[in-house]
Amino acid sequence: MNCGEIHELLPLWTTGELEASRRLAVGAHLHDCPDCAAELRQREAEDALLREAMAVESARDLMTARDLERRVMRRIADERSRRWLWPSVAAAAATLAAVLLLTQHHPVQANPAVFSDAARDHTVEIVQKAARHWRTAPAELAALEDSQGISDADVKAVEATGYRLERAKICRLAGLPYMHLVYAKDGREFSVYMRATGGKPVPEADSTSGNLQLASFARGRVQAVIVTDAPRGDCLQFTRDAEAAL
Amino acid sequence: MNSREQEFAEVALSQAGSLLRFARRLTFDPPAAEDLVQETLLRAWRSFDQFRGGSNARAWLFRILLNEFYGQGRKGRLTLVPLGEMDRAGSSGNDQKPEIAEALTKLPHDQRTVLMLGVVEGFTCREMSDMLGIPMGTVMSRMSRARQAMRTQLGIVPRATTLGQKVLSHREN
Repeated sequence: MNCGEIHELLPLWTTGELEASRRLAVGAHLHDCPDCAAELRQREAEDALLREAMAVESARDLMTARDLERRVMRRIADERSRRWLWPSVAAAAATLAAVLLLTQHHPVQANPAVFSDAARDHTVEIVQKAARHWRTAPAELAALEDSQGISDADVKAVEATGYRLERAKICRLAGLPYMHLVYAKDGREFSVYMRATGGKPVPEADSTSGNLQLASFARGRVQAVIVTDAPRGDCLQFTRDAEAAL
Repeated sequence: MNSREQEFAEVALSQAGSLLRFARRLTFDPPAAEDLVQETLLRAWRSFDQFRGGSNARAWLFRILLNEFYGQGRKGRLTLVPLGEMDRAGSSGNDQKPEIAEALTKLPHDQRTVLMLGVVEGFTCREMSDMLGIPMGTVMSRMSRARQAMRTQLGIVPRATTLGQKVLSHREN
């Protein structure tokens, strides 16, 4: 082998990827040729310096990397706990019967009627702004929470993520009482139908249709159905934030 | 955290630093690099069932990252920074090895990629060939051109003045 051929093979020599016969040939050449041996040493020195330079950056990036790890684990936990998210009630109607609300600690049978009622309720009360007796005073809200066995801390926890609690009332979804909380942020309104876990199964009912986003999850002491006429991304973000908060 | 998540943390999340370092050199945009790594790790998690324990986790992760990067490039979410317009955005303000960082920055994208993968991340030519979907000969020629370009950037005459000597001289000055 001549020096040119040796130079071409040096990357494979360095990484140990040469087969035995060529490895022996390259080794012998490096032993006998001071120029090629010097070239190899120079490459090794350059490589070491490049690695050292990048290692300095790695130390600087360590905090960012740890933060990334935490963010990814949070997303993984979110994905584990999220049951489903439907793009619209129309799409939901076709799939409602097959959907299960699963939670790690409190498996709950999903009920299509809950979601169709929630969609209808949101359409009438939030989109069409039908007159209702909403509660806004802290004492009134506390009384509603007590009546449904919902912790004030859970209600406040969602607020802590940056969404303002505007008003609340009791409504019935599939014949069962839920606390209907309306949170708002940047002009978008999100209905959260909250119910303490452990209640009896909800009965079947008709579904509905419309251009709404729906999501649900069960976390800790509550199960929540979310309905909004905001874009899908906003609904996803709100759901993510609410889940993480509860 | 369940046992599968624990395993994923050990296999994949532990590589976040390496992935981030490489992503910064790919994107020259720190926030985009973080997003790229986050998306890479989430994709890895979603396909973790297909990952065989004992196989090369680093090569698997870097392949996902490269696929994601080129995929985002095709969708217009990430752009390759043209040569000459690069600043040191991806260098995190490194000032201890400015010559080397600067020279690396000025390499063409394909050469910088193999130099980072091969020299800094320690992948073999075969692994790089699989990762990048190019023949081993192409990997080796890119590596060779990258070395030559680095030497040119640093004003090194092969075998007459070593990079080490140059950096030592720089430090003394």
